[in-house]
Amino acid sequence: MSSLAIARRELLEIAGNRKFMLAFGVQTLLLLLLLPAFGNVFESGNLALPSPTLQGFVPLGVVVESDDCDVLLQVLEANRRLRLYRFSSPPVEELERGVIAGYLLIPESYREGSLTQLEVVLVLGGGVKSSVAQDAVEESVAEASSRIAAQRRRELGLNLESAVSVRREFLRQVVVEGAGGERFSSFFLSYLVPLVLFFPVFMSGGVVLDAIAGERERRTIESLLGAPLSRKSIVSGKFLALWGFVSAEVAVWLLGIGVMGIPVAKPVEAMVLLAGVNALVIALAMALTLYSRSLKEANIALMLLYVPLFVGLIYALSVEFFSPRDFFSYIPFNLISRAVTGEGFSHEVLLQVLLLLGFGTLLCIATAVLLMERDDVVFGSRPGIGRLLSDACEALLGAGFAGGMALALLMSPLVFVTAVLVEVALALLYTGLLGYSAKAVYLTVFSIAVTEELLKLLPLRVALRKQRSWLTARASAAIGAASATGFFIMETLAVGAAVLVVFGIPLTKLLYARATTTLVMHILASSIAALGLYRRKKLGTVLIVLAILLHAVFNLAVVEVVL
Amino acid sequence: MIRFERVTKRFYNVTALRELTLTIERGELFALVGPNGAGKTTAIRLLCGVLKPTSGRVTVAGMDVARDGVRVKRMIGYLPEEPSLYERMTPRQLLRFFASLYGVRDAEGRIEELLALVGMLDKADVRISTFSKGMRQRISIARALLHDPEILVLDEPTMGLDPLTAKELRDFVSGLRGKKTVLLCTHYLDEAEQLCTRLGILHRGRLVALGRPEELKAELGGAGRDSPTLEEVFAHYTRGSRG
Repeated sequence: MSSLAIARRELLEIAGNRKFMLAFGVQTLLLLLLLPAFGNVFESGNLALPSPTLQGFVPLGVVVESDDCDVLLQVLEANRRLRLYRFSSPPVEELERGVIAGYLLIPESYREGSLTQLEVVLVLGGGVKSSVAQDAVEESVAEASSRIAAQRRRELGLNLESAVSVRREFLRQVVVEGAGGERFSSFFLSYLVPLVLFFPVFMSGGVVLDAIAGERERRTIESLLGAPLSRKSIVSGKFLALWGFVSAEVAVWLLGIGVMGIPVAKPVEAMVLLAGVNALVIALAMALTLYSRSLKEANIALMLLYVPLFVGLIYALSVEFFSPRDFFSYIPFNLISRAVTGEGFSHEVLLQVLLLLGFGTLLCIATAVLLMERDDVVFGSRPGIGRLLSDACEALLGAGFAGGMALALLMSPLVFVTAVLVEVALALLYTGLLGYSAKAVYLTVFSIAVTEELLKLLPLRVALRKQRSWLTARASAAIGAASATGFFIMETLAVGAAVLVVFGIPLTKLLYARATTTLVMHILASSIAALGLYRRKKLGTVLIVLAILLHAVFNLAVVEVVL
Repeated sequence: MIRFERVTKRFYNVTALRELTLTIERGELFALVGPNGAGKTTAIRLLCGVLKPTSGRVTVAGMDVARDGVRVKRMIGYLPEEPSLYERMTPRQLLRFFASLYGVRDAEGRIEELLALVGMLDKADVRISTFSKGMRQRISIARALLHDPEILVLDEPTMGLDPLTAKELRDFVSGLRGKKTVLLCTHYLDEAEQLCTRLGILHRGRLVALGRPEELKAELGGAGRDSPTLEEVFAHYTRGSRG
């Protein structure tokens, strides 16, 4: 209830801020006036996209059945707009998955040496790139025909100028019709509309700053802290208000876009997704603002958040438009573009992305609450990151065995990233010294075992240093196992993302395969090593060496199977 | 009613309050005096649950402020040093908001009553940003009394007020004697002497003297000497503790 009271007051505060309301009104008006105008400009093709972005723009499969097509292949390869992939048979699956925009079949009957009509088959998928693919292929075929004709004329001794001229055209806009018959280009829909829909979240910085840093600067926070409510409800109340306001702004814009006749394919899904993104960004901005010492520092912190976010948005929308891939839909920016155009949108992916955004939001709100609970954060002398982490470790370990397990899991991203960096450095060192040899491979594999086993002991080291009464041999082994599980999760996610991108194999398949092998090894080795660290002395060292050997043997077995 | 038990508050490497032990009885008017940076505001904030102690505990009617914060805060009316109010709200909106936080019954009636008490009824719907410091202080007092608290904590309540408003406020506090427990924190020793039954002198985070004003004077005076003023007592303890 108190959270709602805080939220209500915060909304009143925003509504009472003439500057915010004026900015909101002007932005909405400009948006509604300018967007359709931009749509028309793109639709009538007055704005051409710059050519450098079109290099290697279209991924095109080529199936070569003829053994007499050198000129055509040369011309195709020289076409800057195309990126060619050779296949032995028609790549139907790749086309369906969107890996290629289409494929060109050069049939057995194609003979550059003969005088008969030459014919190639171009199979295209849907989407923006197919029309560019058709253009580029037609252009290459025309050029190849011209060259072949010239060659023949030379052979026949005729001295005629080629009458073929090559037409060069940049990206052709794919035109979409709105409900009222209005026409909008797909660049406008897949790039500009999503970009505009993100504006409210980028402008949320002002309201976050006023609600958190402003409250502290005006010292009104003291009255709130003296009122009968928890600090958690202050954070959650403010979050609810800010999120509600920014999401309402998005809803008004989305509605306005709809009223103007701009055809957003999945408006409800776009709204839900934008609300999810807003929640994460606002929660993150709140945590950053709380951690800042002054209004000025908070301003800089928010700039460091919003500028990379904006650059990321532009980049994501650019790659989504010029070079779409299936896995891009896991990036919220790209998914919103897909929700607007309706191309390649999946509800299953939307659900997964929303879950991830929700998890991230909760994590940021929890961080904000933890910061709010600290008097040194609220009243000036802000602690350093090291002190915050040390206090967090202390608090977790103070909560007993469960806290120790949580610490092991929470530290796993740090352990994993450090391990990867060390392992890559060692692998580079070995290959530098020994070249690409079996010796270098085996040395790398052994080093991985040593690095990972030692680094996975980090949470237990922290726990042992704080000396807790509950930290028995069994508890140490359990913390080792928890650290191993966390490491395994990070490793699987990283490997899974790579496998998904390169081979298109879903993460779940990989998870099943690794859970029965790698996870068992990690837990076993880390538990043994943890016991070793707890025991210390000679027995301890023996146990740690045993764990490393177990890990190394497993790694070697994997290498043997793979090689 | 109020107990500080060996309460220490540290901010990183600064100790604002050291091992404060103090008991304030129900219905007592108690003053905490001390030079700037003595730890008065820290002590008050610890009592009101605005800060959490680094060690020791503060209890109100047997309830630990750190653990039962929400229940304890319902018993306390807190007037901070700065009348920190939401500028874009009107007094009525502000009091409504705090009434909802404190769960005040018949909030509208109580708001009218308090605005009349502090003489701000005619300004009830005017934005606070247009108010003078005295007017803001009046609204702050109304906010502190909103839920009719058993304990009133006043941090430098007359600071920056014109003499007339300050006198009105002192009269008001004086009228609370025996009805409410009041903890007053002030720079003005005459104000403390005039209003309070007991006082404590804080210096560099330590409670260096505690007792009735006449007791403290007598303690310093001694046989054959004129009774010192409270200023002299204050100067003695704050200078003496410097070493």
